[in-house]
Amino acid sequence: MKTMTCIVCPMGCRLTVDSGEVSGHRCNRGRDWALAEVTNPVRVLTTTVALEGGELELLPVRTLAPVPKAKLRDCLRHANRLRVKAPVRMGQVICPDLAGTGVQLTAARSVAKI
Amino acid sequence: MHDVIIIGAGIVGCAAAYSLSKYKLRVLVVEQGPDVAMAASRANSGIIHAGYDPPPGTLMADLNVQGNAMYPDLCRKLDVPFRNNGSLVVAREGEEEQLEELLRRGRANGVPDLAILGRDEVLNREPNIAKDVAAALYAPTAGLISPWEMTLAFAQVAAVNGVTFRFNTRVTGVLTEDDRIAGLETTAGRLAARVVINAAGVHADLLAHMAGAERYEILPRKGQYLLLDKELDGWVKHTVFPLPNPKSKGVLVLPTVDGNILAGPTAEDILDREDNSTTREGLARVRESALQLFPDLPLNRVISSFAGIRAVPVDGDFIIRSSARIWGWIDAGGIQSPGLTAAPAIADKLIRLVAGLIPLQPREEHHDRRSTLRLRELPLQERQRWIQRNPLYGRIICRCEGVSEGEIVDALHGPVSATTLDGVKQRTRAGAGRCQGGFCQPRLLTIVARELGISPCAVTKAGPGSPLVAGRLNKGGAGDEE
Amino acid sequence: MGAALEARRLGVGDILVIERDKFLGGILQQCIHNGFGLHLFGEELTGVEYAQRFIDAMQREGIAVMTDTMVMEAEPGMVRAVNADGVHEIQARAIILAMGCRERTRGAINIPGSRPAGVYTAGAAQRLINIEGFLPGRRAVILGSGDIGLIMARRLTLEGAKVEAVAEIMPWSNGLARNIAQCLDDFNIPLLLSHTVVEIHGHKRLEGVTLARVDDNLQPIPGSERYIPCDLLLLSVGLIPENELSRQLGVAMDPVSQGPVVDQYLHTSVDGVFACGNVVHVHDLVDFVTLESRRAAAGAARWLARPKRGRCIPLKAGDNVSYVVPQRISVPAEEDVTLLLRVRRPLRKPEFILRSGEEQVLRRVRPVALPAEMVEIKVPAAAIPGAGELEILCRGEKR
Repeated sequence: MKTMTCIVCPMGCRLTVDSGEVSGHRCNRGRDWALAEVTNPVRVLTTTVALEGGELELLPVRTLAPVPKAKLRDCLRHANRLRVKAPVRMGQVICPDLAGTGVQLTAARSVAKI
Repeated sequence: MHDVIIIGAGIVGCAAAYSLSKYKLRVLVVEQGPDVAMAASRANSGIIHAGYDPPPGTLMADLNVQGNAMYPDLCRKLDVPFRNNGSLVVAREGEEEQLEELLRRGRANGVPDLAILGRDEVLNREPNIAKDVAAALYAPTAGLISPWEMTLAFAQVAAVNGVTFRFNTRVTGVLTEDDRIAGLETTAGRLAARVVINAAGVHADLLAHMAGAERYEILPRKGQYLLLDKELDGWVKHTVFPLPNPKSKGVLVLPTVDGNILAGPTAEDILDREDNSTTREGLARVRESALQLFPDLPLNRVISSFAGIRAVPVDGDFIIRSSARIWGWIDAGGIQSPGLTAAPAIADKLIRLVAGLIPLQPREEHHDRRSTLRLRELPLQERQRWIQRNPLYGRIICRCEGVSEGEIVDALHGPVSATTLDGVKQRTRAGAGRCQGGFCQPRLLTIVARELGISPCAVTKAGPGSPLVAGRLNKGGAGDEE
Repeated sequence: MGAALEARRLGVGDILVIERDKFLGGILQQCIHNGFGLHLFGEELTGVEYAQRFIDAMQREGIAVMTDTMVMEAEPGMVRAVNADGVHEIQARAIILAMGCRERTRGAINIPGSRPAGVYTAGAAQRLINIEGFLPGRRAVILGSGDIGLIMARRLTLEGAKVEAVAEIMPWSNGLARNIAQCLDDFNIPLLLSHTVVEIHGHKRLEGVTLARVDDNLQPIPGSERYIPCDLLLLSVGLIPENELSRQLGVAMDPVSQGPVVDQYLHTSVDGVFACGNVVHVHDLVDFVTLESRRAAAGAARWLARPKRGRCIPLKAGDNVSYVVPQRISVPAEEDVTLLLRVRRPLRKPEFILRSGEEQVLRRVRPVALPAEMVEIKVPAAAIPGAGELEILCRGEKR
């Protein structure tokens, strides 16, 4: 049996997983998350990458889908090596496959060129 | 070769530099800190005392009353805000006799217009004061200034007149030849001088000893303060003292020139001369004592607390004299309260002492005025003119105090300009408001770096050893910068 | 932006948004973490994305914007702002205040000690890291377990700093449970409840802090002190609505929420001046800020169409409720009214009762209520009496 705080939404439900059965959830996403959390926990990574020629020097980015928790460090290392050129549109794919996870890294905002 | 080196860029050192700058002399000020007024001159009550407190016949009493009379004109010339708010020493029932004693002392010292006010008049002037007050000594000549601003004003005019300032430079030795001053050994090398003025504040006794001059002893005494929000402007009008005790004038409550309320100081004898940390007990004592004067003081509106170290002379009086043992060594030691008030009079006395050693020739052309741009004090229509001249005056960086990028840039250039974030804050008030830099500090960091032509990682809060950030993020393979 | 877009949707033609920063979006631009927009957009966005959606919509709608512009003075019907082009006097029949909030500082909570470099509010550090690109320190202690503090614990860790601990003076955290899970637990960062910083050490740069356990009265327990070396102390000790302009306008304030007193249209005590978002009270979710901004826009649009005000009845915060917004209700209520409130202490099975005098108007029961989480209660228009006084109170078991 494992108890955890659900991180799917800001509700923060206390979930219990006991031999594949979830309790304490208030939605299906919470149940799915709890099941994944005991087998392969995943997290959305948000960070910044270097941006050239833009109104800002850093571009905020996010993984489009959650990545395995165990690979967070690798993902971050990969993101820190990236360099992007302005202009950028929100949603633009910055890296098609972050650290071999198959997950895309996308721009979280638009930045104009200067 | 310098004619005069002044040790210490506090209020006394800078006032002396200002006065000496009117003469044909090569004057240098050495200061261990990164800016003017880094110690006692920064962290005090900012009061221009009337002068009823020091015992008659002392140097303190004389110079206090003289200095008080000099300030209004000085502040006009040097464009330093001065608020002639008057002071009250309040007594409870049964304590009125002590007010009479202060009144007698004040009259003996030559303090003008002192009066004892009855309860109704006190409550009328200060509606929030404790209702059990019985009477008060009113001193209409007491006033308020920003001690930091005053020190800077002296320094800036001195610099325009040719005085050199060396910051981040500590004196490590005094060079003498045949009992005459030859110069100073400093962390920036040897500096030759004919005359040295020791205005080293809390360290002055150690330097006098180092020079071989007559010994004296200074006790460091800590004073802790609480600063309240400007929104309370007008809540306290006068500088309000309790009756003095043998050690100090007690914890007082007063407005500041900027409209905040200040409460403090404590009077704690300490060992470490640079320990300006606040303590839980000390701040609690300030709160407690302040509430005795103003029971409804809104202490939930405290925006900052700080502590300063005063240089208390063991023998009680200021020590201002030419050494009989070492020719060329002049002490200005033990300048505790009312040192700020006395500073211009102290400077005049120091000039006379210098004149006793080397000939003084007035400089025909010298500056004796300063003006600073304080956009927040101007009507908005006038700001328009400044923005047309420089668009940076229209870009507000510090939202709490309404300080523009143009004013911040100005503070980083010109005579005795800022080299640190605290220096910018002191000169412009950027970051000194109710958010205490929460919003503008990151932006100030980049402006300061840009204007000084250094990496943001090299920008400090208050000089070497106080960087604001640990390094750049490791993005795009940029690597770490220490 | 939420108010501007809603006002446009309701047919208001001449709208201007004034922003002091270089970009629209306010503090959201430094909130690169996700967790925004679930209520409004049904998906989880980063703060930056949430802002960008509004910025894009503003562009589509062609709503006028002045950025890098600071409002210096305001009076009913007019604001005066400055920017690099000069001083601007702008007339408006309705003004909506949406300046947000600021962080409480070291001075406000009075931590004794020295004053070295390396003490930041969490938000200032967030801007330094996420926008300016600097690491404020390498070894951190965070005081306060509000959401910004928790988010920054993770952010610092991801950028290579070591977070020694998050200390919280209360016996509970003011942050969302999921932020404790994904920002602290994921990285083994200890959360020390009933702990506070009692002293700051270091002459020039921060060298360490002394932490102590506190008793039930939040006073440090002698003997429980421990020294933690660190070069960074982040303060996440609460937010305060920023109401300098509101005070200039002469708006009546609520001393508890620290924002203007408003009715259900977010109309302040001054005719034609509305307020929404963290200016009114500190929200925990941006989605609720947007919903409130829409109500303010609707209120302003209504005012523009018919600049007349009805009678108001007061709504008081009763037992266990620290404050409620709106603080008064304009009657007769034409639409359902949304009440937003906070409880004073954590409660189980709280029962919210709205009453008029002794008469119960409405009753709502929730599974739990925490001071950190705003409670929303919808009151049908028909249930609101036309006169008297309203009070909302809460009963529940202590948790």
